Amino acid sequence: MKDTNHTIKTISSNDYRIQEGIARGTEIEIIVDGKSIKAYEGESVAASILATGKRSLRTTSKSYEPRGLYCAIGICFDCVMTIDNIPNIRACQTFVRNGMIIETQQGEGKWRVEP
Amino acid sequence: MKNADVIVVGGGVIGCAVAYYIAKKGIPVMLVDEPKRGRATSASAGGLWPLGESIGLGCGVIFHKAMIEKGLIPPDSHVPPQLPKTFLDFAIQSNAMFPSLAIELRETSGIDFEYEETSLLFLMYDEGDVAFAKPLYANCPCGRSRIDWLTPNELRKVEPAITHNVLGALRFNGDNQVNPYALSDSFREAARKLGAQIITHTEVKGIKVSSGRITGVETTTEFIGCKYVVNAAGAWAAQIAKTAGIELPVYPVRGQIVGTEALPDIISACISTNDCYLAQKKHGEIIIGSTTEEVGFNVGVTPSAIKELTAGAIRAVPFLEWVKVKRVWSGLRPGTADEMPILGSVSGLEGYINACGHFRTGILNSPLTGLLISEIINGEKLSIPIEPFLLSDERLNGSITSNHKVSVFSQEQQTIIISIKGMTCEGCVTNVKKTLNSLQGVTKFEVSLGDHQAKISYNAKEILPDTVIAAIDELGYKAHSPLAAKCIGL
Amino acid sequence: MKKIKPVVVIGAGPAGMGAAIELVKADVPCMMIDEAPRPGGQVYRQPPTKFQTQEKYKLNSEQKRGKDLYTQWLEVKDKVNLLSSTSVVGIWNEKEVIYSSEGISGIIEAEQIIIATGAYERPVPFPGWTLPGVMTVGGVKSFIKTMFVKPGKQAVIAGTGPLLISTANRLHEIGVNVMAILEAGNPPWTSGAFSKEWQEVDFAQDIANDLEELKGNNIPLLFNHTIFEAHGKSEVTSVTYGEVDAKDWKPLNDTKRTINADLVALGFGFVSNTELSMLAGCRHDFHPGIGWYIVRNEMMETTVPGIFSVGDGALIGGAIIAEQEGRIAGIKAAQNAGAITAGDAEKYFEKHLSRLHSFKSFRISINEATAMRKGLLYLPKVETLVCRCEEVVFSDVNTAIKEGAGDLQSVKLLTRLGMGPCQGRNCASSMGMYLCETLKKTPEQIGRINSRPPVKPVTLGALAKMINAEEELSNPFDAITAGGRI
Repeated sequence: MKDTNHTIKTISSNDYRIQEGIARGTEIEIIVDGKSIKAYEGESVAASILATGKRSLRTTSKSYEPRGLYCAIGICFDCVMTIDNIPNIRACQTFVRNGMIIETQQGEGKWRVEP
Repeated sequence: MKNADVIVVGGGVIGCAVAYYIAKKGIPVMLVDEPKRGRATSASAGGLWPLGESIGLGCGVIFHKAMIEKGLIPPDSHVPPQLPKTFLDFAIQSNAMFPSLAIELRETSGIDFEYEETSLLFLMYDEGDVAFAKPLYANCPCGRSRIDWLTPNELRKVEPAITHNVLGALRFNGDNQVNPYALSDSFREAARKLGAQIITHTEVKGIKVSSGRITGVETTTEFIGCKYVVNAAGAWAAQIAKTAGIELPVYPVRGQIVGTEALPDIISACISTNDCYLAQKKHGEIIIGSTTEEVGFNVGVTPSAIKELTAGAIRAVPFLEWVKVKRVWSGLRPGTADEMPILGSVSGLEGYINACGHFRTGILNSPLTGLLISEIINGEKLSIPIEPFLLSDERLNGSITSNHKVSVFSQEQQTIIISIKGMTCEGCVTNVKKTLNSLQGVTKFEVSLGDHQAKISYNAKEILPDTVIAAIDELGYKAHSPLAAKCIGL
Repeated sequence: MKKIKPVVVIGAGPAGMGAAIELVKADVPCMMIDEAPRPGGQVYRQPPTKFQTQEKYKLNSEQKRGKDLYTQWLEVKDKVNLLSSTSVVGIWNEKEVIYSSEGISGIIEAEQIIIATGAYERPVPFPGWTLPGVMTVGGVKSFIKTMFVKPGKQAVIAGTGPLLISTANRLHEIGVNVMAILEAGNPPWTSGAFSKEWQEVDFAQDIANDLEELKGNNIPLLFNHTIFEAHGKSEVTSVTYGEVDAKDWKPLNDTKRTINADLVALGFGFVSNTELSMLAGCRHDFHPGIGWYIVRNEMMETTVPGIFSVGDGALIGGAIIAEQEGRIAGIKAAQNAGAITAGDAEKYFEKHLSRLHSFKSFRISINEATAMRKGLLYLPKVETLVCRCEEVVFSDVNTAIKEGAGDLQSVKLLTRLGMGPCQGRNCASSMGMYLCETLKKTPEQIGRINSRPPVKPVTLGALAKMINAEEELSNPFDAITAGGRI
C-alpha cells in the first residue's frame, strides 16, 4: 500500500475529462438541477455529470441514501435520474441532448401525471 | 405415522384462510402445500370488490368486451353477466370481515396485509358504458351511500391522473384492496402460531378413502392420516378431487398481469374500465389486469394480451405511457361455469370438504370461506347459508353457466318514492306533474299534496332517480328520496 | 427453395459477433439485437461515433485481438440486420423475441436464437458498497474507454482476478492515483508459473505484461487482502481494508487499516446474464466450482432445441472463448437452417472446437480461482444493504430465516429482496450462498430468483405500440425508425 495518509489531490480544472488523444463531438449544454453545464454529443448523462465532479446522482426512497454510478453497463439501476421529467432513467445508458433537463432524483421522483 | 384431524390441501389464500379459522377453533389442522407456478393468489391484484365483481366489473367487463369483439355475443349487449344475489350476499359479508381481520392477523402473525379503503371506480368512456352504469346506479342493491355517480369534473378532482376523455365514473364505496401475498402469508403465519402444522414443498398425490369415508392423504413422501380433507387446491382442485373419485367442475382460467415500477402515490382508487383494471399497491407498483383465457395449465404471457393491457392502462391513465413495466406474469384462476365457489361437503363421501372454485374472487371471499369451513368441521351453526355453493348435480353437469344467471339488477322497471317539500297547493302539484310528464323514462306517477311526496315508476335504463329529483328541485321545491338510498326492487 | 428465417443473435459482443460472421458466411439471414449504440460488447466497447481518438496508446494484445474480430465484422456487417440501442425484454412462448427501443417494441417469431448476453461483476456486499464512488472494475474500464472521463482521483481496487491489474494500469494511465490492488486470493498466474496449455490463450503474456506495467507504475499488489468497509457521507472518502484468511477469505479484523480514496473499483469475478435463457426455459444446473450454468451440448445448443447460449453469458471464459463459441453456434444454426451440409459444418467446426479444447483447463482454473469464497460473507454487518434496489439489510434476511424462510424465493416474499428493477442480479448470488451456508442446504434447494419479463426496462407505451416485425414491416430496422414517428 502506498502511504496510507495520502490525502486526495484536488483537480484544479474541476473537469474530469481526459484531454489527451481525444477529440470530442459538438459541445452542447444540459441543465442539471437547474444549472447549465457543458456536455459533448456522444456522452452519456453519467459521463457529463461525473465530468463536473458530481457523483451522487440520486437518493433512495427508503433511507434517503446517496447513490451513484456503480455498474456503468445498465444492469444495476443505481444511477437512475429524472430526465426530461421522467424518473428512473439510467444515466449510464442515456445519451445527452442539447437542452436536456436532468434532476438528481429524490426517492421515487416526481411524475407529471395530469393528462 | 403423522396425522391430524383436518388436512387442508393447497396453500393459496383459501387454504391458508381455512387452516387459520380451523386452528383458531383449536382443532388440529395440517396444511400441505406444493407451491405451483401460476397459483392465482400470486397473480392477483388483491381487489376486494364485492359489488364490482357481482355486477361484472373487473375482469368481467373486459372479457365481455373481448367476446363482443370476437363476435361471440351481440354488440348491443352492454351489460356483462352478473352474479346472483346469493353470491353478492356472500361477498359483502366476507368483505365486511376485513377491517377487523386486518387487526386480528397483524396481532397474531405480525404481518400487515395492507388493507386499504380505496373504493372502485368504473370509468365510462362511451354511451355503452353509460347505458351499463345507469341501472347499476339506479338500483344499487346495497344502498345509495355505497355508490356515487361522478361527473368528469368530480372525477378529475379525486383522481387527477385519469384521462379527461370520460363521460363520468361510477364509484363503489366499500370496494377496497389488500396485498394478496401478504394476506395469504398472514393467514398462514397466524395459523402456524395457533398450532397449525404447515408442510410446504410437498405435493398431495391422492386422497385415501375407505368404505365411504376419508382416511388420509398420500403425499410425495408419506401417508398422513386424518378425518377431514379440505380441498383448497385452486386451479388444481379437480385433480385432487378425482383421486377421491369426485368429479369437480373446476378448471384453470388464465389471467395475465402487468406490474409497473414503483411510483409515488398517484391513484387512490381501484379503477375498472372495459379494457383493463388498475390498482396501485402500497409499495407503489400499479397492477394492471387481466385476461380471461382457457388455455389449460399454461402460465405463459402473450404479446397480444400485454399489448392490450398496457394500451388499456394508458387510455385510462395517460402518463403511464412513460412508466416502465417491471414485470408481466400470469396466474390460473380456479374457474367454474357459473362463476360461484364450490363449498362444503359432498354426498357419499364422509370427511371430504370443498373450498374451491373461487374463480376471480378468492382473495375477497377467503375470510368467509375459511370461517364457514371451520364451522362445518366444528358442527356449528353456519354464518351464511351454504346451499347455493354446494356441489349440486346441476353445477356438476354445467347446466348453470354465467349466461343463465339471474342478475342482481335484472329489473328495469323501478318504483321510487320522492318526498317533496314546499308544495302548498294543487297548482304546485300540477307543476310537478307537468315536469314528470316531460321526463323521458318516467312511466307512471302519483303526486300527493297531503303526503308531500310523489310515487314514480321509471325505466332504469333511461333515467336515474337523481335526474328526477334534480328536475323537481329546479321548480323550486326540495325533493329527497330516503328510499333511493336503500335497495329498491330487491 | 424454402425461405430461411433469420437467426436472431442477442448481444453484439465477441460471442455474438462470432456467430453473426459465421451466419453471414453461410448466407443465413441474421438479425442482431444489441443494447449499445455500437457493437463490441463490454470488452471491445468503442467510444461514441462522435468521438475521434488518436491511437496514442500502444494496443495491448486484448485490443489487438478485438481489432482482428472487428475487421472481420466490418466485412459482413452490411449483411447483418443490426438493431442497436435495442434491448431484448423477453423471450416468450418458446421463441418469440420481444425487443424494445426508443419508445416502441416489437416481436420476432424466431426459429433459432443465439443468446450471447455476456456477464456482469459478481456482487459482494460490505458496509458502504452503495456509496457513490464505489464501482465495479468492469464499469470503470468501460466508462473510461468509451467516455474518457475519470471516475475519481484516488482509487483502491479490490476483488480477485486478472482484471484488477489491467484496470489499475488503465486508471494510472489517465492520471488516477491508484493506492493499491487488494487481491483476495493468491492466484497462480501472479507467480509467473503458467500452465503450458495457457500459452494458447495469450493469457500468460497478457498477465506478464500487465504485471510488468504495474511494477513500473509503482502500484502495490497485496495478496490475501480485501476491502472491509467504504466510508463517506455523500460519497466515498476513505476505505478500511485488511488481510483475509488464505483459504476461505474470511476477513481478519485485527489487521484492518484505513486509507483515503474517492474511488473504489470492485471485481470479484463474474456472473452470467442468464435471464433470457431462464425465460426461454433452458435448463440450468449448479456446479460447485463455477456456480449456476446453462446446460449445453458441444454445439452450444441448450436443452431447448434451436436456442443456443454462448460466451460469458453461458459460462465465464473471456473474449477468445466467447468468440469461438459464437462461431460454433453460428455454424450449427446455419446447418440447422439447411444452408450448409453436415459435412461442411464438421469442417468449419474443427478449428474452433480444438481451440476451445485447448482453453478448457484455463477456463476451469479461472472460474475456480475467482469463485466466491464463503469467508466474504462475514463482510456485511447487520445494517449493511444486501439488496441495493429494495434497500433490504442483512438483518432482514436473518429475520426471514428465523421466520422459517427456507429458500431464496421465500426470503424474497418476506423481505422484497430481489424484487427491484435489477431483478436480483446484485443480491441473488451472495444471498443464495449465504442461505446455503446458514441453512446447510444445497444451491438446488435454495433455488434462484425467477427471471420475469421484462428483463430490461420497457415502458407501457412501448409495449402498447408493439409491432410484429415480420408481418407489419418488411425490415425490423425500418420498424424501429417508423416507431420513432408513431
